[in-house]
Amino acid sequence: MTKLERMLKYVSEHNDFYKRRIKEYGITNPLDITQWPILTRKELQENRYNMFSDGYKSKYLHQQLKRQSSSGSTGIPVTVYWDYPDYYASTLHLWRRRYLHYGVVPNDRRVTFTLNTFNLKYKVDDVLYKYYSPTELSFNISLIQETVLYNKVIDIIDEFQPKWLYIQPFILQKLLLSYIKNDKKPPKSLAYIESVGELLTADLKQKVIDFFKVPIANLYGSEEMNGIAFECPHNHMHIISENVHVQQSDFNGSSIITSLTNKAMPLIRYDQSDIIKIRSLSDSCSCGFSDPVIDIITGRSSENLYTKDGFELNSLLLMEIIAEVNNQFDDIVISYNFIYYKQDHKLKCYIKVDSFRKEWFYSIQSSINEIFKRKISSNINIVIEVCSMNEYQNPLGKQKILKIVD
Amino acid sequence: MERNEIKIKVVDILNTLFPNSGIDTSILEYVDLIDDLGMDSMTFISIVVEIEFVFNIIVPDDILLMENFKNVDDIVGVIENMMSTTQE
Repeated sequence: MTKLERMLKYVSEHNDFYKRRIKEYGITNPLDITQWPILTRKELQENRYNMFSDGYKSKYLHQQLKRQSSSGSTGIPVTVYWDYPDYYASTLHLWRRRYLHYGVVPNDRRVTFTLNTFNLKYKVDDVLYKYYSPTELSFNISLIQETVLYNKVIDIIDEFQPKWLYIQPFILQKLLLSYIKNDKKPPKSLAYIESVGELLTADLKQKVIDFFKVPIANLYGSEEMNGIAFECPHNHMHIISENVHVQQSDFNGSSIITSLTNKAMPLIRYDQSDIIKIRSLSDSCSCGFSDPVIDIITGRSSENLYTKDGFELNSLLLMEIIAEVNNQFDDIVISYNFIYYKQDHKLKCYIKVDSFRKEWFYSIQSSINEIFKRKISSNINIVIEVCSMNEYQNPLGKQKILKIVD
Repeated sequence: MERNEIKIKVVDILNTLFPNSGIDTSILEYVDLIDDLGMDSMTFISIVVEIEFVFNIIVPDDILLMENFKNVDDIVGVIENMMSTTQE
């Protein structure tokens, strides 16, 4: 029996949510993945407390499960719970490949870039950073707007001497330019760079290799699944088949993914909503893995729009604001969109809160305002207005959480 | 591979992963990695990745709990089990 069949057998015997789906959708052979319906983000969001397998609800109530939240590039945040051994197994599948291909282990010094708010932090001018552990230096990128600030980032990185960078392409591009412009040398300790969030362009990849003289690999992952595909030294984005089963929707090319490790809250044929193209390899890749490869991933580009006074409104920043609200208020925001009105210099945030807590809307309103002000620099003159989704009758649609209107 | 040989290699791995523990190599094999050295999930996964590579084994998903790797003897036990499974 394959790992996929074992997971399908498991959910058909030990998970009430999927047992109901077998009946509702008339599934005759639960071990046949093609018979299972697609699980949408909305279904996951609505059923998050009803999807635990036998025995895991009690672990959830005793706070013994790991919570992973996705802020949602589609405007629909979701939360997934993991039992710890499954979570470690899931991440281990990626770490084995990182170690084998690029020689890094979790304990190696790394630099990460985030929009999370830091509690304990260091601040040099507008560069905010934090040592999450002796081996992880993390920069809050929401304030790093000016090129001159990247200079300081470079100095702090140099002092830390990381073995690798875990970095989003749009930051990597700015960092690289700053290195070149200021005639700075890459840290001697640097051995590897991992690009996350969206795919690197071939042009940027080559420039990075030329300058840093280290290998760079793309990682395609998500909070719901952990590692989905990872680029080997031979430029193949191999699916991490020990962790996930990936299909490409016949309808729109969307990635339909089944977790092979999460038993606590299994995700069977989950619509990850990235547009992909899967290709089987005719021969084994020289890297030693023969898993199919993903050639195209779209729908992940971060939408960077500029306000009237040149401030970069990054959709990731806006997603993080909602993620923080959801952390504070236990997943209260169930969908959201942002529109920036250039003429009025106003950013409108449309949110829909869950139906049981509608009266909390005003608390959420002030919380979003407070977080927004904290996350962006004080000299930006944007007024943020939080509105109920009911006032907004024209949703921006899938893959678009931020729009600029003249 | 003899148990003692495995133990020496495991202590070597731990020495690399806990460089600033302040604990002498000779007593490293007696310490509790969670309580005494504050092993976190990252170090735990590092240990698993390193022992898999050094001993050419695959640690099965169902024993991936920090409690199963809390001291040198536990880790050596896991390795011996996996090596005997591989040989069979």
